[in-house]
Amino acid sequence: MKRALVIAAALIATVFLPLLVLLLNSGSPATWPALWLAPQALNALSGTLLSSFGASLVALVFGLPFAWLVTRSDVAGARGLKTLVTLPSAIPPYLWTMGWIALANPRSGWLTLVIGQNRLDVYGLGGIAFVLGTSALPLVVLATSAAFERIDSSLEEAARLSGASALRTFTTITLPLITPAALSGAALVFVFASASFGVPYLLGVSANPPTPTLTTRIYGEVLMGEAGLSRAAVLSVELLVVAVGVLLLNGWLAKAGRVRLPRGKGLGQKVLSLGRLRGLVSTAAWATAITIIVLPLGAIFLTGLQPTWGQWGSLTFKHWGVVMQARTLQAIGVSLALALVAALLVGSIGLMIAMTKRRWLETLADAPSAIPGTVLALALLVTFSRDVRFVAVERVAFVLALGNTFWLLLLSYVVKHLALGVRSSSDALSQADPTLGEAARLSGAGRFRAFVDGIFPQLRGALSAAVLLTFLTCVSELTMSVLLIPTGSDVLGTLLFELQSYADPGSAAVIASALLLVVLAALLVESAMVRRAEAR
Amino acid sequence: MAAVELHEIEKSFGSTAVVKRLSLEVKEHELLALLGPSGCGKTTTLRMIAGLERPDRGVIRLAGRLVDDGKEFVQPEQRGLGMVFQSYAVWPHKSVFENVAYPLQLRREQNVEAKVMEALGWVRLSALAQRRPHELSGGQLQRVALARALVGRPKVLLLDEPLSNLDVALREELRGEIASLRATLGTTMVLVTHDQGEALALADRVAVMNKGVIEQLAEPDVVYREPGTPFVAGFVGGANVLEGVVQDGRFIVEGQSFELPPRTAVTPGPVTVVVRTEDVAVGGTGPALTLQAKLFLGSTTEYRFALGQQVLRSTGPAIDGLKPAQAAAVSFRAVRLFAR
Ligand SMILES: Nc1ncnc2c1ncn2[C@@H]1O[C@H](COP(=O)(O)OP(=O)(O)OP(=O)(O)O)[C@@H](O)[C@H]1O
Ligand SMILES: [Mg+2]
Repeated sequence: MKRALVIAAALIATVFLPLLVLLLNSGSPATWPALWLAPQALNALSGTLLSSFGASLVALVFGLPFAWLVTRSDVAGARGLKTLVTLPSAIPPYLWTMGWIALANPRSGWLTLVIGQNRLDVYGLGGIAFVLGTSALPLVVLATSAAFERIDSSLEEAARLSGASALRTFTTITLPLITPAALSGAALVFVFASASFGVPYLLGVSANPPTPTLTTRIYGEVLMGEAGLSRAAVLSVELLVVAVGVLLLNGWLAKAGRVRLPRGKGLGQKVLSLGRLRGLVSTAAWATAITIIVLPLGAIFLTGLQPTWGQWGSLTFKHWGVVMQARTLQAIGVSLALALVAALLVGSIGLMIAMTKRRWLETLADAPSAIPGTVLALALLVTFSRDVRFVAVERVAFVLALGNTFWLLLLSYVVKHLALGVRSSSDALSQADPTLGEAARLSGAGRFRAFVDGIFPQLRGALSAAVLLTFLTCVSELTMSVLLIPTGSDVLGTLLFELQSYADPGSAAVIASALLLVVLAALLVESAMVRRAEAR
Repeated sequence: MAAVELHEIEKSFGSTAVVKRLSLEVKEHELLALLGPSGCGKTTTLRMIAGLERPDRGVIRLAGRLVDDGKEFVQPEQRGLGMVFQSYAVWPHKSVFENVAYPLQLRREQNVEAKVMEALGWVRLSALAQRRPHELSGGQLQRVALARALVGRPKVLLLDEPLSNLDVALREELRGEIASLRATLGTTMVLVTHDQGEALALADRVAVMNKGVIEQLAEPDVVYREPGTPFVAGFVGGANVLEGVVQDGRFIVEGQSFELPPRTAVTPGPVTVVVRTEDVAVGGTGPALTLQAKLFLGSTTEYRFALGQQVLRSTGPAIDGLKPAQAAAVSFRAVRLFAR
């Protein structure tokens, strides 16, 4: 109990108190309506709502057919297709943006050059929604393909025998059965999109007309210094309300619309034969997947090899020298170190929390993951930008000087991703066989030793997956880093962001290529790990 | 005219033949049971009748109408059938009423409400019309499935192990309900089951299937009393099936020599002998066998004797003083002989 209380106190001090401070900085509920409805705030709010709604729509429109094809049809190469369409989540959204800028900027994108100038424009609301939607595709694909897989074929066959055509069966039986999962996937996309910073910044700020969103406005206000801070706080509260509101709505919808698929033995899943259309449908599916996933990534690599940005020509490695520049190396080093420490902390604190077996503590530790990164970072910034003075044991005073240090960044990485560590540990713990630990105790091991020898080996798979995933997200983190990075320093995300938006998109593409290679390699390692865990 | 007619149907999954040159006619208003062990192809046969599976070869007709001959194919929804699935297949997003109304709505019928309530009355579910499926028990779900399959008054009702997911008491109850529904509605039914008790109790005729072929097709009492093959005898009657040879008028199996009852038609050579358990007599003049186990079954007691590597079972009244590991003389009162 004592340990649980200590962890809870730490979480409250580092997340919930700062949120309170932010709230206090944002005026009072009485002044909110006026502040929220100010033209600029309203503009940003509508940008966020529209682009997030659009992203959900894009993810549904692409995700649903893919999910159906890979689970319920004999589409060619279903496994490969599923791997491809679930890839985007692993790659930071601003990388997709860079790819799409290279492909579809109105003057010199690769696609633009094929199609003709001014026909394609990735800048603006549509582009933001499209890039966010495709980079969040896995949220819909995974949710709905799990639902498709839970539908027993006899439910559909019963409809056929009742007189419904195949199409009618799909619209009246299959679709309603997966609707809750689709909605919940779409809600997750919405929350992801509303919290996103890099995509709307790169595609919205220089659009014509500029398309602000809450996150990009908050960033803009923070750049203004003290004066902007309180306006940023107001926008943050709005963003928090939007994100948490959608999550609560989704939870309520999920409960109201829950469909319990009945038990009982049936034939299980029958795959639908596409028949004569198989070749056509498979080609279309693969072409679409390649266009929205392989093409933008390829464009990043190609851009890094272009002699001059935005121009065709013989490819060259001459820009690759940027990887070896001191500034780049330093950013890489800082990112690797921060991500590594954050990932290990997420794993170990998550395990500690799960081991207390207290639901309330798990909920408390889960909560920060629902807070948009911008809001969390701003809360930490507002709270810890000045030194915090603790007076303990009478006269000994501690000064906590976190502002403008990497500690604040590390803190934000850890609390934001803590849910990953908690959830995977508590899932693994609930599946672990306690008798192995008990057997160790009876063989003479102490409590700690019994845990290390008997239980921990059973958790290792899930825990290392969580650590790896945290590492991958943190190593390329942008949204929080951009607000919390100490002046004069860089992490990979902020460096890329700066190069891409102000200085040198060519060099940005090179670093992005290197980052992509690392992410893809890590994914290979992870899938090998998963396969080994499954084999056991 | 036969309600269902299968002509030389063949079906393989990959390289395994599941149904082999199967022909079958189901008469109008008849309840025909397809009985056989797990994996013998019963469900596959039923699904081909429904149009949920295509045969590799052969012709299927429903009430004389060609529905599948490899080229012509009538979609399942156009065959006018009803079907009850082993897994119930009650749609979880629709209420009981909506489930049963669905077939009527598709056909834009009038008086949907009255018809649905009538069908729910058949299966005694009128009170639960507004319930959702997750609020129902297994037996109630199966009744919903039955009402939904019957509400459109199909010519033929296909039932795939409709009772096998239910506990014993419910099974008896629903079995009675299916029988009385058939009496009131007169629907032709094809019932797939691996439970011989169910098949014998409900069916007008029983088709005993084994490894994709029908071994015997006859009335229940014929199947039970005069099994056409050793497999049918073993599967339906639970009889002892012994492979041995006939020599000098005696039956030799596992090194033991049994006297054959008088009036048995004897042909020397390798034979399969089928002895019903109640025809195995303990005491008397046969070879002495060791008792392995004694099972009290209520009205009778089953004795299991070791016969080499095989087991010979005998049922009858309890015998005082006979205990496992003791030996007793065993003989046959009546047998059926099949040449091999
Ligand atoms: N879609 C399929 N693909 C491959 N094999 C199948 C398929 N459906 C059935 N089989 C195989 O065909 C054989 C017959 O299956 P079927 O379902 O007809 O048996 P059954 O007599 O209904 O058995 P049970 O009593 O277990 O339901 C089985 O060996 C089964 O594994
Ligand atoms: Mg079956």
